[in-house]
Formats: sequence, C-alpha cells, structure tokens
Amino acid sequence: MDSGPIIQDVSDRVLSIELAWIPMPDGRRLAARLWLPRDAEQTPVPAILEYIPYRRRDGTRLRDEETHSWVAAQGYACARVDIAGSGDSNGLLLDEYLKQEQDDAIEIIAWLAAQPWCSGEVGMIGISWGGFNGLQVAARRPPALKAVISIASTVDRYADDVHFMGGALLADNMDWGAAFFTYAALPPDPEMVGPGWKAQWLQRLEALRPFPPLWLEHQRRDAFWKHGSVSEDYAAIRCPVLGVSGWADGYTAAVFRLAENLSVPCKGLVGPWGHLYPHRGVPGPAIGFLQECVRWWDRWLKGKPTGVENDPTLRLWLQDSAPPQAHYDHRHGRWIGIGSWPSADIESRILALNPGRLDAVPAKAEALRLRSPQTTGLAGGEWCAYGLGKVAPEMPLDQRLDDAGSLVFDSAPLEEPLAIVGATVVEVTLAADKPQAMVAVRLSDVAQDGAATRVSYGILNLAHRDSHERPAALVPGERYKIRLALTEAAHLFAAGRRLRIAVSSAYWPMVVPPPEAATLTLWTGESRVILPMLPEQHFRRLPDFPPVEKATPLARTIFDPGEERRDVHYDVERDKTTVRNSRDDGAARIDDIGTTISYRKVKEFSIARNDPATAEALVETAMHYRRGAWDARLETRIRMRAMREHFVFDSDVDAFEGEQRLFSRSFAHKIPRDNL
Amino acid sequence: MNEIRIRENLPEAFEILDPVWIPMPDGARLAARILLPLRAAERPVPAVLEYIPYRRRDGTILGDTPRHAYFAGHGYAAVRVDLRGSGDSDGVLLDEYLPQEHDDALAVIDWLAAQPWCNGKVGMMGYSWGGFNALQVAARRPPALAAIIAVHATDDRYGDDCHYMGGGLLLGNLSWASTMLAYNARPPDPLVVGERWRQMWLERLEGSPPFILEWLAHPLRDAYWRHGSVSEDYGAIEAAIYTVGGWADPYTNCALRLLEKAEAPVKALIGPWAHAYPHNARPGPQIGFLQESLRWWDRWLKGIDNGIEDEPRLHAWIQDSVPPASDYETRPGRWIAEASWPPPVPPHPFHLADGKLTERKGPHSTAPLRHRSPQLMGITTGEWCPYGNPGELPIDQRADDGRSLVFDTAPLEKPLELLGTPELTLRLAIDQPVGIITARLCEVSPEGASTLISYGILNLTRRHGFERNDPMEPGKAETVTFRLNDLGQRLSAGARLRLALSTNYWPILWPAPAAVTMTLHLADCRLDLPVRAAGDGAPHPFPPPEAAPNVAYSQLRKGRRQRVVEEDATTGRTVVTIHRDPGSWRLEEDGLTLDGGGTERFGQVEGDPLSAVAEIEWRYAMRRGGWALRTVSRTRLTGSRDRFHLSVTLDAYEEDASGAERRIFTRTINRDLPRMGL
Repeated sequence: MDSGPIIQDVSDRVLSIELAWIPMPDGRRLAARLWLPRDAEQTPVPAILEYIPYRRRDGTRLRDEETHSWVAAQGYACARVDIAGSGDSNGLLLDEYLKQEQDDAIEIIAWLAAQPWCSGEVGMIGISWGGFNGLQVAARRPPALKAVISIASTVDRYADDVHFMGGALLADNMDWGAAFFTYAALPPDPEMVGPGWKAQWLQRLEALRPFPPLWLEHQRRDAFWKHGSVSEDYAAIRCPVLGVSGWADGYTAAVFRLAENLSVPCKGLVGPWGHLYPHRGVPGPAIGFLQECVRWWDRWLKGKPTGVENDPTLRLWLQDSAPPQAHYDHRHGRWIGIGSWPSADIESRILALNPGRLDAVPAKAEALRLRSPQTTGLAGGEWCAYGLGKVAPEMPLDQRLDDAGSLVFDSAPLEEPLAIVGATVVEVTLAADKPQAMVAVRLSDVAQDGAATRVSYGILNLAHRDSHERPAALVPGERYKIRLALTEAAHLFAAGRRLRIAVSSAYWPMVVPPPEAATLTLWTGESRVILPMLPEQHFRRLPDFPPVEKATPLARTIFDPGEERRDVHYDVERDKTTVRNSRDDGAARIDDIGTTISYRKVKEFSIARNDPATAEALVETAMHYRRGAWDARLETRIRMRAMREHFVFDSDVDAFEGEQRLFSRSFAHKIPRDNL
Repeated sequence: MNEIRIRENLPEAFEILDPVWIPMPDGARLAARILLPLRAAERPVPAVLEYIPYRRRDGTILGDTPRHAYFAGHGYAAVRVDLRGSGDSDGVLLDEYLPQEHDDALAVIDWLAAQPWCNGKVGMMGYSWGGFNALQVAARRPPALAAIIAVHATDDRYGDDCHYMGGGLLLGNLSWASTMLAYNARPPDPLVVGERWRQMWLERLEGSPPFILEWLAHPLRDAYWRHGSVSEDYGAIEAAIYTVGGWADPYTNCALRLLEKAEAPVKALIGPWAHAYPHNARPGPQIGFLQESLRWWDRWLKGIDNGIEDEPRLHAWIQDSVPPASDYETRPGRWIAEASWPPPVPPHPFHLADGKLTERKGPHSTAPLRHRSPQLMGITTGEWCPYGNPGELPIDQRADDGRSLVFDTAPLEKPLELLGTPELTLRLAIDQPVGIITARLCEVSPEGASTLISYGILNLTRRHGFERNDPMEPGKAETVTFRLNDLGQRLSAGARLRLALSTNYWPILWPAPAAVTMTLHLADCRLDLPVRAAGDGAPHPFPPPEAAPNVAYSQLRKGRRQRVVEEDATTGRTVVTIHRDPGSWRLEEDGLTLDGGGTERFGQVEGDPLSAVAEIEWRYAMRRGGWALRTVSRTRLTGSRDRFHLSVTLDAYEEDASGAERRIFTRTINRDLPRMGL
C-alpha cells in the first residue's frame, strides 16, 4: 500500500496573498491567490498559473494550499486565478473555453510576467478545465508561456470530453452540464468583493443559461467544438507539454494524442488514477507528482538540466488483472516506460470473432443478431471516475451483468501472461434494422471463476461511422464495415485468464440511447479484434516515483461527512429501471476563512419498458455557503427527456439568502435530435 | 351541536346550469353556476347572487350546494358567479374589492334581472368577501338589488378587516394575502374553458400580483382603504340589509354599526359563531339560518308580507361564562332581542387603581405604573379569525395576564351583562416613538381561570386618527381613547372582570421595532362598558338548522388543522405553527381531485422584536386523469428598525404525459417597505 505523504511546512519560505486583482483591458478584474517565495522581490522567479472556475477562495482552497505553496517553496510564484464570472472575479461565465477566457489568460500571463517578483517565464498547470485551457492557451502562444502541464484534459472537445463519445451522447453532458450550471451561478464572497456581492450574484444569475441544452444545439463536430480543440492544429503549440491522466479517468486519450502529434517536447504519464491530481490519485498508488512537476518546470522555466527530456515518452502504470470492484483503493501493477509513441515495440495481435469465441483463425462467416436490453451498460460505471479520494462507487462492476445482453466472444484461457498497451481496435461488419443505432464494444479480463473485469471499451454512434462532422443515417439492412478504437489501456492479463469481447447495442446509462431499439446483425469470420500487444522482452520497468510530498494542509472542521451512493432500482410494475447516483459532501468549515460549505448532487437516470424514448436524466444540486451572517444557497435542477424526435429539457435555478429566495428561474428547451 | 337536517324533498324541483356565461360590457365572460327552479320558465323567480373568487366548481361547491340548493328548492334562482380572474371566469384578479369587481357585479345583476326566468328582483348574499361586496355593491344601488344578507362582513376595510387593527399591522394581513396568492395561482378547468385553460393559467400567474405588496404599501387609512368601505357613506345603501356576525368572528363590529348608522332597513343577528354561516358554524348553537334567510328574501324579493321588518332589529346570543378553551362545541347562553340600537342607556365607567378595576373613582396612588410586556404576550389569544376549527380560540389568559398589567374588579356580587362596545381611555407615555397598546377584557372565574371576552388595540402613532402617523414623543404623557371589540357576555356572580394592558400582541400583531415601556397615569384612565339594561325583548324563535343535500365527494386524505407553539429554550425563539390542511378530496361528478393546505409560522425571540419572522406557505394540487398540476406559494416578512423586508415566491408545476413534473412558472419578489410607524 501507499505510504503516507510527506508534509512540509513551507510557511517560513512562502508568502501567501489571499487576494490580488488582475486588471483586464476592459476594466474587469480577476481575482487571484498568490504564493510567492519570500525573497521573490529580490530574486524573481517563474510563475505557475492555474486558471479555473472552481473558486480559489473556498472551492479548491485546500488542494491549492498544499500544492501551490509547496511548489512556491521550490522557487516559483504560483497564481490561482478565478476565471471571469467565477469565484470573486468580475464578469460572467457564459460557457466553457470561450475565446474571452483565453484572451483573459493571455492578459494574466502578461501581467504575471511583468510583476517584479517574476522572472518573466510562466508555466500553466491544471487538471480538467485547467488542463484543457493550458493546451488552449499554449496554442495562442503568449510569449511568456514556456511550458504546460495538462492533467486529465482533452485535445478534441467533441471526441474526448463529457459531451460525446464515438458520436453518441454521454450522460456526462447532463451531469457536468448541471454541475457547471451551479458553478456559473455561485455568489462571490462578501469578504472579498464587499457589499456589492449580492448585486454581482444576481448579475450572474440573470445571465445564467442551462448548459446541457445549450451544448445540444451542436450535436455534430462543428465549429463550436473545434474552437478550443487543439487537435485542429497541434503545430500551434510551441511550448513543451507534460500530459497526465489515469486509466480510471475519462480523459486518458489526450496523453496519447499529445505524445503522437506534438512537435515540441512532450511527455505522457498515465497512472491508475481517476480524475485527480496524481499526488492525490485514487486508485493508488499516488505518486510524488509535485516533485515531478518541479523537474518539468526547472527544466523549461529555469533551464536546469533535470533530464526530463530524456524520460521515456510515455510512463504508464501497467495494471495487473483484478477482480471487478466498484472502487479500488489501489491497483496492482508496475511502472513501465515506452520510448516513443507510436511505439515500434508494440505488435498487433489479431483475433477473429467467431460465434462465442475469439480465435486466431476466422471460422465460416455467420450472421449473429443482437438487440440488447436497453439497460445493458448498468455495470459500466462512470465515464469519468472523479474519485475524490472517497469511497466512490464509480468503477465498472462485474461485466457478466452486461455480457448477458451482449454478443460475447471469449478467448481460450491464456497459456502465458499477455500485456496490451494502447488502444485495442475492433473491426466488425454490422447491419442495423433502423436508421439510428449504436454499438458498444468491451474488452474484459475474465477470471477462472468467471468474474469479468472491464479493461477497455469503445462506443460508436453508427450514424457517425464515417465522420463526426457529417453523420449519415444508416440504410436499414445494409452492411457496414466498422472500425472502432477502444479506450487506451495498459493491462497485463495473467495466465489462465480469458480475453472477452462483448458487443452490445446499448450502453445505458453512460450513453443516451438512440431513439429506437435497433437490432444489429454482426457477421463473424470477417470481424476481428486487433490487440496492441507489448511482448515481455520490451517491458521497460521504471523505478517507482518518489513518495507524495505536499505542504501542510489547511484545517477543516467536518460537521457532516456526507456520503456517496450509487443505487439501481427496478420498479417491477412499471418495468422501469432507475440509476440513482448521489453525492453528498456533507458540511465542512474551512477554518482559516470560516466558511462552511455544503454541496450535494443527485443524478437519476431512468428508462422504462425497454423503450429508449422513455430515457430520462435528472440532476439536482444544492450548494450552500455560510459564514456568520452570510448565508447563500443555490439549488439547481435539470431534467432531460430523450424523446423519439427531440431532447426535452426543463431547468430550474433558485438562489436563497438565508431563508429568503432571491432569484428563481425556469427554462424549457426542446431540441431536435440530429442523428443522435 | 345541532345536527343539520338535510331536506331531501324540497318544495320545488330545480336544475343545475353550469357553466352559464355572463357577458360583461368589455367582452369578458364570467362563469356562473345557477340552480334554477324548473317552474321559473313559466313563473319567474328572484335571483340570489353569491359573488366570490373562491372557485365555484371546486373551491366552494361543497359549501355552496347545501345552501344554494335549499334556496332553489324554495323558489329562488341561486346564482354563484366566479369573480373576474377566478375559477373559470376570464381575466385576472388584481386585488380585493376593486371598482372592476363592483362594475362587473352591476352587470351581473342587470343580466340576472333581465333573464326571462327572473322576476326582476335580485338579492346578494355572502360571508366574508361575499358579505363585503354585497354591502359595497348595494352602495352602488343597482336597481334590481332589493336586499342583501352580509355575513361576517365589514363596513370599514381599514378598521375592521384582516389588514390592520387599531392601526397596527395584523399578521392576518399576511395570512390572507398568502391565501389569495395561492388561490389566484390556480387555473381554470379545461373541462369548462377547453384548450385555452393553460394560456389563462399563465396569464393569471403572470398577471395577478401578490396582494400583500399593495396592502403593506398602505399602512394608513387612505383612499385605498376608503374605497369599498361603506362606512364612508352609510346612506348610499338602499337595499334592505340583514347583517350577521359572530362573537368568535373578527367581523362582528360591523353589525352594530350598520344597525346604528345605515338608513336602509337593517336587521342584525349576532351569534356565538366563528367565521362560517350560522347554520353550520362552530361554536354552536347553530340556527335555522337558511329558513331565516328565506324569510328575508320572501319579504324583499317576493313581496311576501311576513312581518320580518317589524321584528326586533337586533338578535344577539348573550354568552354565559365558560372555562377557557381553544374550541367549543357550543357556547351556553341565550338569545335576546333589542327593538332598537343603540340602547338609550349610557356606558358604565370603571376606574383603574393599583391592580384594581373599580366602579368608584379614587383615592389613587399618584405614582404612575410602568410596564413593558414580554414580546410573546398574546400567544394565548389564538387566531385573529377563527373558522371553527379546533385550536383556534383563546385559551386560558393567565399566561398572558402575567405578561400584562392587570386590573381586576372585586368578585361580582351579581351577574354583569354586557352588550355593545367597550371603550378605554388611558393616559400614558412610552419611551419609544412607536408603540402598541393592547387591552384585553377577561372574565376570571372564582378558581382563577381567565377567559378572553373582548380585546382592543391601538397603535399609538395612530392616536390622532388612522389617517395619520404621529410618532409619540418619548416620555410625554398623552390621553388616548380606543374601542374594544363588541361583545355580548353575561359574567357570573362571583367572577371578576379583568382588564389587562400590554405593549404588544404576538402573533396577532406585528411587534413595534423596539420594546416599549409604558408609563400609565391611573387617575386619568377609564374603561367604559356597555352594561345592558335589564329586560329582554321577545326573541324570534330560530328553528333548528336545515340544508339541502350536497354533491357527492370522497375524502382521500385526512387533513391537519393544528396550532402548535414551540419554545426553543436554547435559542429563545418561540414559534407558533398553524397547520391549515383540509386534506384531499375528489368531486365525484367530474373526478377532480384536490389537495393542499397551508402552514403558517410566526417566530420571535423573547426580548428582540426585530427577530420576528412570519412565514406562510400554501400548497395546492389538482388532478384529473393525466391533467395534474400544483402550486406552492410562500410569503415571508421580517423587519428591521425602519423597514419591512417582504419576500414572496410563487412556483407552479405541471405534470407531463410521463408523469414527471415540470416547473412552468416561478416568481420571486423581494421588496423593502418603510414601516411608517408600524
């Protein structure tokens, strides 16, 4: 198991500035928190920017403190800036990754570089939103930006983000969209912005629009999604990039895309983690990531010869077989290095899909018919496991539950261990009896006792078989050759285990189903799976990373620990399945600022009578801030119904000061389905 | 309790017409339900109109039918019209008693009188709103309107309605506004108005303002309140008036004033009742009020010479002593009759001494008395407007007597009978510019139990008239005179009469912004009591109550009517919670299911009047098959030293075909208003 982190008290070396205002050319001011080496005015240092909308003062404060102050102690000026319209910053937060956000970042970087305590070099780091915009801002090439560390991010906002997967609509479009609906409408802190806080809050509330329907105005990969997708022009990025993710994260792909496509120095690191910083990574082992960051910054911002450019292009946690579990504290495995990407060390191992079997040789072609129950996918877990360091039941369960509604192809028990690294590709010949249909393909590791653990999976909206930009309805009955790359993995199948490919026509609730239940026909013989096999002789074992180090955490008083739950409920009379996923963060006070924060989010997905047109998703959130006389609360609710022809949304927002409701609004949206 | 005799076989057969659309001059149509005697086509009948906003088809149908069918069965067209903007009528209801409401009533009366089945005579009848507007419309003198019966009504919208009392802010102002907010948020019935129900619903949600905004914006008796107050010109009314009140009801003062001041024929009846019609009101005894009403209609609408106008002008139930209780099935007492009003005898003065109420003045100690009531004084009074439900009436007053300055008579040597209006004169100073004085009259039993028999309020900033806000000069003594509620009470020999004076009255009244200490100069204080001269007139013998059969309905969920007082010793906050939940029922005729109710919470921390909070929530739900909707409305009031903080929210939800609910409307209004001496 992981050893505990090494905690360093850096307060004697680091000056923390609660609030610095960064002026924008149009008069808006963005709120920043700074950690400076105490001698930075005498000895200017490079600046590290984290630029996200999650409230530096009371949202990410604990994480920021232990991270940025530690890095500051190594001789960096760390800045944590609230994106406009979030936290205490002026302006409005009208959507993700808008040009305004990137323009503001360029101003922030110039401001940082010009400060007397700054050497003029700037790095950007961030996870998720802050990883996205690190890449996006790098592509704008602000002169002072010299390096980026981008964690759990994407290069392609259409293909690899919460909204769509394989051209199919992800439940996370609702889930994240509802969370963002809350974040974009939170109040600034009166202690920071003064008595105008309420007017500023109301301004945010007035401007607020529900995001899930807004995003569904763009169901294909159009200019809306190309904006902010650095995959449109990788060459625009001119500074070195360290890409980081975890196998349990929804954003693993970006690490491989960056490694393959960037022409500047680029390294990739993928651990066993969910959507978390690696020094807080769950499942473990967490690593001494801040030390790794400093190696990166020292090389590119200070010109120190830390040798990061000589690291293997990819450092990956090669995971061992494990029984299926909703949560892992730890995944067994080892660190390996891959010298370059794509790697010549990786061999394609091809297995044919024969009825019920994966064989080296195709048998005579047979047509297998498949119409999965609409609830196939219940064992799929979360598209993006947020983990949060708690016992979050987010990982895929025993795949046999879903295998029952799928076409299943098993290999013989492995005679010797088999390692795969990268994306498994499946080539299948399919026909559908409806113009809209989807396919989900899962690769599982099946234990001797039959338990099946998902290793990797892929989704394809068949209307997107040729293009995400120009989807085309299927011609019922026509055969299509489909090529589908599954999510990247580094997995070591133990000897004696079987590989399983399972094909289903539904993957709910992760994927919103197509409007009608389609029957697929799959032709064996010509369908196959291509495994990215890493032969044992190419294993390049790496030493373990140093243990986790961070600065002294801030004190928090927990009044209610909260809990996370994921329940599946089946109403027999109504033939209705409901997945309820509730996260209750309880209530805790951040002691140094005295603010007590509560957050809860409940999401419910339901489907009835095996009819995809009954699919509904509901997300409710409640955020509550209290400190002395300040008592601000926000409640939101978004419901989506996937009707045959339309997506129908109802969205509500209610804001309260104490017992008094300050603001309420309801929205109704009806959006035609576009090959979705 | 007198069981109501349900008359299955009434003299006349009738038909039920619903909806009947009554056209207004501007093109709007009002929805009516008319119970019409079958013979009216050949032999026209008079019409009796009840004209209120409480939704004839689903709001009042269970109350209306036994009454209206009774009238129809006796040869009257019983007409129940939804006010513009209510029920199935067109339009939006913008406030109470607006000129539009009166204009519409004139058009309705003209239309009724012109129907071929109508003999040209119209009566108006109602309790509460329907009693108010009967008086108000009568003051407009529509030619066909020959008589009215106004039950639990007011002639003075500022002085004797739920908004203000003695110039103080009644919490009833909020309660009632909140009730109306919820009422006005309900849609018309698609079965009646068809597809346009939804558009009409949205128009009402958008267009009907929370009435409290206007009501709190007029803390003085200005033109806003004078409109609709027939006390401004009693002579305007020409129709014969039957005015009815109840000692447990807050609208009873109107009856004796009309008797004294109206120029039209007036007959008055005051029973022991709370806010309901006398044939089914609690406390009993109930009377055959529908038979009594028919005698009135027969005389004035059919011209039958039954001599009712020659009977004594006032019938009143003189209440005997009872132990305090929050509910009575009946109040013991007796009917008395007065041939004329006011009586020729002058009021009987009592004087205040240290702890004593005496008939003879002095000698007094000259030292003034100082008193500051705890903020929770008043909590035993119960509801300002009891409806006849358990838990509403005043309980033993001793808890509040202890929070007050009390003056007791010696044990009465013989019974003391009071009928009329007590009046109190005080000479006092207060240490704040704004303050309230409350006077309660109690009957104290030989065992010490204290039963409330009347009370009065004066907001001292209104001492020069309800039209003026004149802050007090702290420390300066002034003489003020104010009335208490009318009463009809016979105190027993051996009991004591108690006058209890206080500086607040929670949660009847909103508290003054700072706790007040009053200094009372006893030598110049006096209580004038309406002691009744001996000798009863012969009262009319009221028959036992009767009514017609009701429509069919099923109770689906039992309601909850409860008044709970919780004192949190850790925070010092005491909260009075009133549950007004009638439960759920289904009307069998068209399958409509109704559900809903209200919760009122009044909280205050002892010693801190600025901690006062009033919160009222109403929930209503309607369902018929796949048609299902509900509304939630909330009104919340807090106060700072100079301002009121008012918050009103309204949310409306509709179920879709999948049974999932969508919020189709939401409104949040937050308003700060000056306190203006409240």
